[in-house]
Amino acid sequence: MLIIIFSAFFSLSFGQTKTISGTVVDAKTSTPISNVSVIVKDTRNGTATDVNGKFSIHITGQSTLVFSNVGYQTKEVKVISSFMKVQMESTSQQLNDVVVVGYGKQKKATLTGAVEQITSKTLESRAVTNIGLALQGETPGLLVTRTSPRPGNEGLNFVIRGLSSVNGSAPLIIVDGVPVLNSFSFLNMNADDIESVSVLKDASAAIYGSAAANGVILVTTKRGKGKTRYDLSSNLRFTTNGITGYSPTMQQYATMWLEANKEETNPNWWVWGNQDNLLKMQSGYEGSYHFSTWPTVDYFIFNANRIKEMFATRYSYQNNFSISGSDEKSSYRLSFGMADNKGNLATAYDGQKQYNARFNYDIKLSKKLKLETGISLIDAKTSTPSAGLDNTLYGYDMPFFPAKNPFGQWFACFNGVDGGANRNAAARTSDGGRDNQNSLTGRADLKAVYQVYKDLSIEGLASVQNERFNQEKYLLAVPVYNWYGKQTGWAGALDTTKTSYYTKAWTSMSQYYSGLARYSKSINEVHSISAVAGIEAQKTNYNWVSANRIGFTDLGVQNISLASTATQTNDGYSSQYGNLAYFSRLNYSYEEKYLLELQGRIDGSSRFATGHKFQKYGGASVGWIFTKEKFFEGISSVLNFGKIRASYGSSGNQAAGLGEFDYLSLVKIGTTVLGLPAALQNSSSLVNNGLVSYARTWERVVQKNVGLDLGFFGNRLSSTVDYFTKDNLGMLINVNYPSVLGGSAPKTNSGHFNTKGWEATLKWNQTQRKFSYNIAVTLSNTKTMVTDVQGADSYNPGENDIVNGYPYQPWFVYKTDGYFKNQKEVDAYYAKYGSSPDLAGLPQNNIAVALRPGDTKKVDVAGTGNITGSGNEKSSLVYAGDGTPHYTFGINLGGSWKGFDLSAFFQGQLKQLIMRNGYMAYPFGAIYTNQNPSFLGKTWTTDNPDAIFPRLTVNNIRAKWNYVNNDFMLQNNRYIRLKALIIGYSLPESIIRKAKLEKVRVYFSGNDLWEMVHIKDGFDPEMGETSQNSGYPFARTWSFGVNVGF
Amino acid sequence: MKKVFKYITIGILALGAVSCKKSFIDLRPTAQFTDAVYFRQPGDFKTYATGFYGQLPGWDFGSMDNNSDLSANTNTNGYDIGHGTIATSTSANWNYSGIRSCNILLSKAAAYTGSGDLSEYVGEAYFFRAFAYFNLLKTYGGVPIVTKALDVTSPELFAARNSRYEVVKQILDDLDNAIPKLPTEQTIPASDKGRISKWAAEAVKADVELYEATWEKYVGQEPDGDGTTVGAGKSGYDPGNINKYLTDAVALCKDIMDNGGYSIWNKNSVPSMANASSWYLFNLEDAGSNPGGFDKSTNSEFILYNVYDYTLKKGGKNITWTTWQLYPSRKFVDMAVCKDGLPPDKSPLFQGYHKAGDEFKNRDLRLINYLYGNGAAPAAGSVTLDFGGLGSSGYGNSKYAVYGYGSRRTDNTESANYPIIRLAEVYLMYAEALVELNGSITDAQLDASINKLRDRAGVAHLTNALATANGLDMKEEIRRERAVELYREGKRFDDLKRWGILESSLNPSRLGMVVGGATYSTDFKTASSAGKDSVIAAKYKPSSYVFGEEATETPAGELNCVVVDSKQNHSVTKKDYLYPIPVTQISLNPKLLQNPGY
Repeated sequence: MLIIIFSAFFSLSFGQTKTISGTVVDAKTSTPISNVSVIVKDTRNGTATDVNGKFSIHITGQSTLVFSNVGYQTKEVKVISSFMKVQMESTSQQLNDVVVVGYGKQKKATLTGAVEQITSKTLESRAVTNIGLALQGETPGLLVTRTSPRPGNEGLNFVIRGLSSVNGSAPLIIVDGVPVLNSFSFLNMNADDIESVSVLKDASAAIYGSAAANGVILVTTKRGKGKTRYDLSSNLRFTTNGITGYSPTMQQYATMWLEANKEETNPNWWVWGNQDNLLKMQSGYEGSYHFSTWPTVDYFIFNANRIKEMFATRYSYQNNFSISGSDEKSSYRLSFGMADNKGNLATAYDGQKQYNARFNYDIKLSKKLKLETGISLIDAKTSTPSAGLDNTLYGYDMPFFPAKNPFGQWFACFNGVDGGANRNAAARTSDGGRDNQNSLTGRADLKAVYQVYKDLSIEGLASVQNERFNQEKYLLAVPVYNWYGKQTGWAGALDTTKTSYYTKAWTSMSQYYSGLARYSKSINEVHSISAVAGIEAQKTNYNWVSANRIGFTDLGVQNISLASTATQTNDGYSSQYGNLAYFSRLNYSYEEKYLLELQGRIDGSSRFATGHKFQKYGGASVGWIFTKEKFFEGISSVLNFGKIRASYGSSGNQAAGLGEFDYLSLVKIGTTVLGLPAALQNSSSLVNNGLVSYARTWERVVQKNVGLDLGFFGNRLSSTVDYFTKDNLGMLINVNYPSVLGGSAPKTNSGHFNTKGWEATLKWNQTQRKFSYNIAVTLSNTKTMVTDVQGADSYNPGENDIVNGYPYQPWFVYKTDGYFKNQKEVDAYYAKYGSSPDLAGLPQNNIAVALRPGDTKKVDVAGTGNITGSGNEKSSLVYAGDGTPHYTFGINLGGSWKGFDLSAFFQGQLKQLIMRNGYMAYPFGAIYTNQNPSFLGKTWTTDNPDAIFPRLTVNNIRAKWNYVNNDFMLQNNRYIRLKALIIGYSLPESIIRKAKLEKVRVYFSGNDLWEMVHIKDGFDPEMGETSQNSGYPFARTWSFGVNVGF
Repeated sequence: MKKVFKYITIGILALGAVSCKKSFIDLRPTAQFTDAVYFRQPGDFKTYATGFYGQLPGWDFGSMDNNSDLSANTNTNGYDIGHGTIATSTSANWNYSGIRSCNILLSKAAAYTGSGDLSEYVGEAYFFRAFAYFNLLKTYGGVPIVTKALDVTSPELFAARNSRYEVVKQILDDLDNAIPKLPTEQTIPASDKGRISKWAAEAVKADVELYEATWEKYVGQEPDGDGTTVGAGKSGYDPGNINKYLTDAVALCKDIMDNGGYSIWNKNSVPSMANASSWYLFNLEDAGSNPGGFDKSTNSEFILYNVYDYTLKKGGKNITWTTWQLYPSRKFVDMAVCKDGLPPDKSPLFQGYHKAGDEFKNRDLRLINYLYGNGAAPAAGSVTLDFGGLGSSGYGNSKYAVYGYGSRRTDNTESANYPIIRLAEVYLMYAEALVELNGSITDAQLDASINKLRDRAGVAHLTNALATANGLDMKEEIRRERAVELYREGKRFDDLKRWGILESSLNPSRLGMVVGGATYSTDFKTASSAGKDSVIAAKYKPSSYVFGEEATETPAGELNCVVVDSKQNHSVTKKDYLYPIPVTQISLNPKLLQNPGY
């Protein structure tokens, strides 16, 4: 079928042919322009220029060539010689780019909003597993964070210009004009299919109404252009383990214990029994030990590096193939992508296999009517171990137990001496079952554009997206053995009776329709007006069913039908939601000097009760290109472009999430176990215990922005600076009513979340004939403030979520004044503060826990005579800053020389306050966990009274006092990371021509190859505060790729 | 052809333009009922009432009397009440969500016009509402009474507290409403076992009445405050209620004993059960859970309980592992009687403390069952006193633990039913209420009640003759019986309160084993004629006990014991009889007056 369509495009040519070649350059700068479409007039014969602006085309007889490119005026040139040099005039005299904005495109020069566009070039050659990672740090104001290095499970989070709500701040993502079904239908796109990504950051997004408060990411896919072209790219990646400094050796671990007990009034050797065993351990003795707890057991300890056992270099690949082309009537692009991305887990497959296909086809049916169609398929299969990648991997148990015993059997952690200690993460990841998730997303678009007359066009778009998601997760029992080969139990205590099989099938379908009219008119080249108005509607349905059986014999075949029917349960759900909106925008410019934009939207949602469904949103922005004023003419050779922008708008925050039918009192069906023999009975309750709200609506965010764009020296140097505020005036907040109400009342629009920030970009481009380079630096910062949240005036020690009058996620920490120097100081402290709530657990007469010299001295900041963390101004807590990232930056360096190109991209942040949380946060938070060796030698002793950290203790109550939420435990997670390094070489034309190829480029591309970090506790800067509990190391990627065009 | 496409385009546009509101934003839930269509048949009410069962207490270390006078370990559950350090910020359990659920059912039932009988489910709603208010009463004293589902604008949200006497009246009224509507245990079908029976409601009512009667008798009105500056006040107080409640409690218990069809789970006649009925009852699961092959169907002792099941609803707590470390105190071990029915200090059978295990000889089977399961008491020389991380008293604990027979349940999978009120407690309430009411109890009444517990415990009956001959106080003996039988069943703190002995019971140190001294040799210390003692280092690590030793009066005279939790850290006072109202609630509703002393 497809082949038949394609064959229609290959036109036969008649007559005498000759070859014309040439170069296309910018009329002003003389720099070559790539990707210019070159078409023989009135034919389907065409090509496009290469990176050096060169083209070559076969023509028949007398011909005229049509040159066109985005941002340039289309030019027709009669062929008079076999070599042509063509100069193209940019459409705008200053900034040529056209930027995709909501429901249309605008010239960057006359844009009044804060919009950033990333082109396909940025995404090329990036050896990343998905689009989101490629956008990390690329544009100021878009913060992309990840919580895991695992392909398909990266936990990516997008935030544009800082958070705007405590309830969620995810931006709206739109691909080819249609909101995506879910974030994965964006993340799993083939980067090779993307033409551009626009980020709408301010009120310019307001045309998206109730979903625009957190900005909008607009993705446009590539369409065919120029003569038929085949592109092949292939990329092979190696991922190696990154920072893994959080692992203690046996010697380090033993030293921690010895040092701590040396400092202890009441030594506690836990299961290790006594000092001798730990001295033996400290000496590095690997083999049999005897402990008083199990005197008759030969207990084996080894220096097992679990990270090395479980994680190793893995390789991944990505292959893309596309065919594209166009003629006057139609254009097409067909692409296929195939990738297998693996995490570094060595014991089992942990990754995602992905297949992408896309077919974009446009056809002009008449002079006035054009159809644009698109079909895409994304098949993403994520497969991971179903167990073992949790705290048992690293945070919980010390790495003393090799994965296998001498018989090659899985070795039980703690030699399996007790039923609870049969843990082995390597065994469970390897043999403990799989979690396979398969998502198939299809989409079909049909768009018709009808040019009613010169100034007016109407268009209609219908789009259907459908996702089918299947999950199969089974848990198998893995026997673990002691050193002598005797089975001691089952890994993770999951014995054969608890094996299980779970499966879930999810389908969601979204239909989207829009109709809009565009009008544009220019009067005497002085007044120019453009307007768009439209209506759109979208409805999404989803449903799922799941089934579970417990008790599953593993004979090598895994299916739910093989598990026990005695325990089978199933569940399911379905729901729907939709919206309907009317929107319009008006742009006016006077001599492309004074600019005005107005936009408005009426947005209706199925989530609200009748009479409350519709909300109004809108915005206005103005711009002044002051360099167009007469008085600037004198310095235009230095400052060639200058524009001041200002915008104001209000929009809604759908990311804050309201239930689909919150305005109805719904019945929730559950189960309760009753009967003899016990059985499940249906039980029911009212959702929210019967409390509903009619009046609440989307959070409303008012955005203000002022910006300044400057271009110097013919735009070789350019800069953009923006200052903005976002005011969430109706943040959904739980209002606390007296508990006698008997339920939590639905959230109401009563909170206030304010964000202020700025962002700046500075770019330098220098292009010469053989050598060009560019530097771009972006930097941005936001500051938040939460107010008017009921019941949020008090705080707790540590990181809080909401405290009125403070930024979001404020840190409140104990102020400390070093460590007790001597017993006299301790006694004085107890005399003064002994009755404090915080000291209740550390009475002075209990020497096991009583404070000693070297322990932390918390300060009575409020002067109340109490040391307390119970949160108000009378506590001993001080505000220390907030936990969100600050001063995030990106540095882009690029250069090319002859066939070589180099780009390096650094990304990082200057400030983020973090405090490690979880099993290895501080020494002896619990005696039974692994210990972080980075504290060694840095703790108080009589010989080292000026140490960074307090005296070690094996007592968890004292350890908590000494470390948890104290000011010195707060770290600044400042870092700079070489996100990407790309070195490419394009083969000279002289060689590739002989091979009848268009383009051959080979490159090396690396990710996360280098970093400079401020935190010193051995963790990756992008790892969350608690993810060390599992310890899956972040990876570095080394990839080699080739792009071939023919 | 082109025309056709033109029309198609215009058609698409038109579709977009007129896309009617109905199909996009007037949507209805596709998988959930709204309450407007629910509650249309008795089955809906039954299903809704089934949801109440989540409110029943279940397996929880917080209700195992840790830090009471009978417990000596460092488990932190119950620390504040045990030590008298309850802070005003403590927001224990000021929870009305269960009450709201009951109020919803009652209002839906009142508006019900359909056919069929709702009375059983209405009865359950009354029962659960009473049960929730009883918990609030025991925690806070008087609380605001809410008997309808409130809205965020309801003035009742900001009402003052009702007095405890009004709350008690409300509870008893609800139970009076519930009792005639609920089915008897005998008529509850097997598939509904575990639902509230008439007897369960009667048992709870007896519990409330005995609780309130003894509270009013021994604690008095001090914790009430005046109701204008502090506390919930005394409104509705009637001194005549004490005897009225006691009389009714006796009658209710008698009704359950005579008509309930329950019986004590005593399998001691089966040799393989090794006289350990009092242990296996609390870990009773399937036939594999005990050597006698008894499963849950053999248990007709539990009257009110939470149903667990190994397949469908596991305990979800590391019960066995944790309860092993919930060591009992010296006080508990000295409390259990000897086989002759006499307390150790009166009994010639008591063997003293010279060797570990001596004190367990000739004792109440419950002492062995609760501390060592089906095993034997420790042998001489087998105990090492080392404080360790958990504050060892030297004794073990086995109640609730699953071990020893067959293979141990994997951690967190123990799934025995959780007892809330069992027949044993009804016997104990019956005997106590009689003694409180009449100052005496007949031998026949004792035989009809607590002597059945003594039969299972393998000790002589408590009789008036035994009491008289040995100078025993009958009321104290019944309280002793209650303390021993209901060990770690979450009743102890409330008992100490209602008997008015909270301070005197909780302020002394929690002690462990007797270590003896210069004149009393044990496994841990040798005595010497020179008047000096010496520690047997292999068996006793004195340095690990940070509070050292304390001399205490034992059945063998004043002797030194190890201190697990020193009296220095205990400061229980009168205010601790009630918890403080959570300060967050007072700030939301300033009409809530704090309890006295906070």
